[in-house]
Amino acid sequence: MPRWLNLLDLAITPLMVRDALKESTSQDTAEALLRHFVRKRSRTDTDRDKTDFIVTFLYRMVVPAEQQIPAEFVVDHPSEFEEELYVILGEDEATPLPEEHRQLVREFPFIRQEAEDFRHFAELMDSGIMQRVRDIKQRFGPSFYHPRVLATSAASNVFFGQRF
Amino acid sequence: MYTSRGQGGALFGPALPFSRFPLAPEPVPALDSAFLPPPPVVQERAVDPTRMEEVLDMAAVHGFYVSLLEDVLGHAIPVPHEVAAKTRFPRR
Repeated sequence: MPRWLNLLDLAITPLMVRDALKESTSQDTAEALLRHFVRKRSRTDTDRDKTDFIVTFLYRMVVPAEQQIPAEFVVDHPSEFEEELYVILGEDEATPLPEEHRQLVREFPFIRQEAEDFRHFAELMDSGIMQRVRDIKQRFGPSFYHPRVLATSAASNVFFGQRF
Repeated sequence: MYTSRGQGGALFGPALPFSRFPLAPEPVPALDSAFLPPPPVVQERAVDPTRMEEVLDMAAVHGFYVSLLEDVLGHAIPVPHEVAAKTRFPRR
């Protein structure tokens, strides 16, 4: 079975996963997908991007619309969505993030502040901020699958998605 | 007037030596069970719940992926028998 899923994974791109995650997708399916990728802890870009789309989909599904973009990002303490992720992943207590990865998580609020100054989508694209976000996600390595990182990434994605 | 079972009686002549046997033999539990196959012994297999959840998750992922590919390709995709047998779940 795992080999079969790996084969299917080769045929499916992250964008296909993003497009397939729609309102008709049940929360149970999305949660199963997330657990699958978190167990896999793959370092590949494609698996990380798929996980990113899945956790963002869950964020939109679980967090009430009026709370999806909090006034400020607090990344030093677990958010409600992070607590929800612990339940979904069946983890009582996650392994603490390495210090260098905590520092990476703290970059997300700064990036959000920068992005809030942009008035047009073109400005955002020209600033190279999206590539910076991608680089940060890549630098997490397997720590990307930590609930703190997943929750922060999902909140960040929703912020960018709603802003432009 | 019928005589009581097993006692014979004047109406049917003298009681026969085997008349002490009831007309409708009562079930003999030991005899019944001797000719019946033993009931199947159901043994519950202890499955690691973590492993079980993993398998269920893989089945859900399989259903999602297959459904996605079929939507994109516009036709059914061949699934290995052993995978198909394990994944009888509704798709997304």
